[in-house]
Amino acid sequence: MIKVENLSKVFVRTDVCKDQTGNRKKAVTKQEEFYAVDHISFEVAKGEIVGILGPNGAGKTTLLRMLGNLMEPTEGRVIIGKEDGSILTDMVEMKKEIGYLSENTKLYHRFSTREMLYMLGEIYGMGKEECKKRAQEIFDVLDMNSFGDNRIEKLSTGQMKRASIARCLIHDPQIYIFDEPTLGLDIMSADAIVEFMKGQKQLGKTVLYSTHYLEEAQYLCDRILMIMNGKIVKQGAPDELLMQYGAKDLREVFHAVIRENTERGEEEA
Amino acid sequence: MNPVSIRALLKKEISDIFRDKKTLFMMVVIPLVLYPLMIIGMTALMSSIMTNQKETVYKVAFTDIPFQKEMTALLEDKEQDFTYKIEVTPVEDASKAMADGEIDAYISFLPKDKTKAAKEAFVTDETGVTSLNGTLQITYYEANDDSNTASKAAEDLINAYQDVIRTKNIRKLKLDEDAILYPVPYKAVGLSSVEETVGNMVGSVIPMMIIVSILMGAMYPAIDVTAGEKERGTLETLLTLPVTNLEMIMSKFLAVSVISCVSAVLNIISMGAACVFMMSMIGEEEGAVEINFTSYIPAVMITMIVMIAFALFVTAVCMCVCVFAKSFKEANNYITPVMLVFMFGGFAAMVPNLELSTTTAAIPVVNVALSINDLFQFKYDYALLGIVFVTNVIYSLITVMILGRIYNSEAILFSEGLSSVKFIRRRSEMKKGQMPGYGDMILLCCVTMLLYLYFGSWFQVRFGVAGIVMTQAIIIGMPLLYAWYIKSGFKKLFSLKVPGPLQLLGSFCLWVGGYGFLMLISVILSLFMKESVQNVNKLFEDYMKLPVFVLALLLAVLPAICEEIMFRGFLFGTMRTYAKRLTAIIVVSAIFGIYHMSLIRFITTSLLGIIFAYAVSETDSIFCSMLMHFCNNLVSVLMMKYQKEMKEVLPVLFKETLGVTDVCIVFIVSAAAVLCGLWLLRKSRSKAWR
Repeated sequence: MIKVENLSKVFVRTDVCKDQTGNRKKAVTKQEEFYAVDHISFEVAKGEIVGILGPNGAGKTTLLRMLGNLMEPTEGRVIIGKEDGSILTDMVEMKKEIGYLSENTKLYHRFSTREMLYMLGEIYGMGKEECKKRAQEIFDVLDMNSFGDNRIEKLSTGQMKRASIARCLIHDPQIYIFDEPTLGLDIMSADAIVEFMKGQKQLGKTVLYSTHYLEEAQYLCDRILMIMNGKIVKQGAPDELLMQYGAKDLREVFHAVIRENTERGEEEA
Repeated sequence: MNPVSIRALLKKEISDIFRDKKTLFMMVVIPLVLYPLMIIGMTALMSSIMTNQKETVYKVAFTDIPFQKEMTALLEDKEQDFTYKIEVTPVEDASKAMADGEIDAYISFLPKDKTKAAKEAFVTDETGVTSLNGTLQITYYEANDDSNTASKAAEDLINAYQDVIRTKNIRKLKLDEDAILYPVPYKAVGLSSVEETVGNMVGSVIPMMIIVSILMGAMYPAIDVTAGEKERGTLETLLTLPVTNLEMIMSKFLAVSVISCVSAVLNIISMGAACVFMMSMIGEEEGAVEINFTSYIPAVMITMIVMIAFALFVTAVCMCVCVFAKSFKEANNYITPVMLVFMFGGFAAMVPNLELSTTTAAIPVVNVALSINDLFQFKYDYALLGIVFVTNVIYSLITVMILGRIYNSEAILFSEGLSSVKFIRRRSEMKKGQMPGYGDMILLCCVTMLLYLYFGSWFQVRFGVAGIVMTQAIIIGMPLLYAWYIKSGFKKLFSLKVPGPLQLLGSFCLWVGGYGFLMLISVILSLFMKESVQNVNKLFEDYMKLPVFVLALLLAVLPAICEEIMFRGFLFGTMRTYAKRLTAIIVVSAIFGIYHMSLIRFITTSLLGIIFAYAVSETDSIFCSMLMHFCNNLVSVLMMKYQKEMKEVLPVLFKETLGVTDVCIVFIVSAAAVLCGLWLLRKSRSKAWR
């Protein structure tokens, strides 16, 4: 179980804002603070897959980075509940329960996947034998035995993605946080990853992931969080959302939600 | 910090670095191959040049010298031992032949009396002593090596001829040759052992090589673990691991230090081996020098210890710089100036008369160079070596702390890197009203300081009074130009707010008190430092002839405006937006102190800077600190101009040492003034708030 309470992140942005008349010469700079993530609270239960949707710049990556404890929140906190009922709040302890994957988590190219897994396992505090066993298991599950000993720089994009997933698995985390895991992959590789997430759900793991592929989200997610301007603007199970908007797919829902909130934002302004 | 994580991370960092071929190349190939080749190659080249000089036959012409035959006969004389070989080349036009390169030098005769020169070159007096009736002249090209050596050869020949004539003269006078020529016989006895002499030679070169090799060893791994990690995109991966930022940075730091140490040790071994090899080669040739290499072992051991401390420092500095870069290439750019600074420090060992002392032992880089130099001359001053070691450890700790700070900043880890230098963008892209960044501050400081150093002193020597105005123009012009270029908001940056009367009064009181305290402090300082404040004022003696209002304008009004715009304006205004108030005040005041370029004035001016900056931060008005600065300088001007009158009115200002009553009075008055000033400033601030 992972829970966030009132989570916020403030960034400082320097912008040239045109004045009311649109005169660029009179532009004023604002060195303003803004909420990239604006007081978000939600909870994801064990065995649940939650998809995070939203336009670019909505704050998805920042939210996931805070969930993965890569960034410290300005306000609020992240809590992880373990199976035995205990609660984790320490950043380092929480990272041990999280497998985090994003476009920016590249691999150590100078090693083979196996070497890298051993190396990282050691940092997670695992013993040598344990690492060996776990790595072999992962290789079998992800079908990586054929290229697991090649240097990572020699791998193809799909193979590299699998190696990345292997990296997230080495310490057997309870929670997966994936930032656009299927971006830029061919259909076969993307499907493999979707099936992998589904498999993990069956094992009772929690999955939180962001994506721009709405069909995929509709197929996979138990619940969907839609984010705009750092706030949750809509949440619910895919079917519920479809019903609510009378839409035939998530794409229509997405457009409707965006439209709704843009209009509301303009009215407020 | 968890030692298990650190160990695992360290292993990861080191194996990651070792998989990089660039690092291996810099570490192994360069020291093991290049240095020995360079050392041996250089010596071989030098000795071949030396023998070449001895073997070469230099062509020297004689023009119009009546006694040419007697001179050239000496060349055939077997008893004469000339260093260089000369071939007498007859030419028609000597200067043309020189220009054409036919001859290397020529000797000509300049007679005293031109009319009968050709017949009688020598004159003999009544005692029978002969001397040349004129001068011999050697003509050569100084800039041409061959010609230079030829001139020396010609000189040798003339000296030999001189000896012949001299001996002849002495014999004619029937005197004792030795008593006349060598009335004071002497001989020099060198007490240094061969090892010390060699150490002296080698010791000035080795520090440079060690410093360079540590730098080389630290540079690439430092870039690799910071900017390289960012560039390859593994930094975020690293952040997903269950380790604290401190553990992460410590392991990176340790990994790079280990590698730079290893590379330095490899360097020393390979250089040492090359030296031993060379010495044995020379030994075989000449058979005279016998060096006991084991005597250097303690020096090498202590060098290694000093080196390790130094490697920690270098590593921390390199990493601090590289953290700001996004890519390997960018980091390389940033690190080049650092390298130059370090190498410049390495030259310290080659500067004659620069010795390891308690002061130099605390200067980074220089202390390492000097201490290694000393060690190789068997000077073991353990107290100084201790200072060198401890200061290096302290410097590296401080730098590591800074590094930890930087690495904790998400802005630097996730963002664009060095964006704080706003100056590098085009002016049309500047955002109006932006504040300068730290980078801008540093850039402006450096540029202004350089201009001030180069042009300021030159202006003052060249133009006198006008020079002062020009120097001050630099100090006010640079920040104004800079702020204009980056389209900064002048009002905010330079705190251009009209102060209230209470604020001005408060600032004035604060200055009065501050001045009193400074008097006490400079009395205390003068106990420790010989350079007194009075001495500094001698610089202005020339200006004292000017009328007092001109002086006040030059030395009080101008600096008050110009320096305040620079320091309390640009620098303090910039720092205040980013740092805490106290930090901003201290840093800017320290810069203000450094800019006065004198140790004793550093302390007093920094303290003054602190109260100036405090007043600005309380009132938001630069005019307050201008007033304080003006009063301060005006007092000095008046003290110089009206020494007598001032002495009668305020004798306490002029005393070298203060008595107990004086101290008490000054202290009480100053304390009262300071408190009053603080109260006024606070009161006027709260009014402004309402």
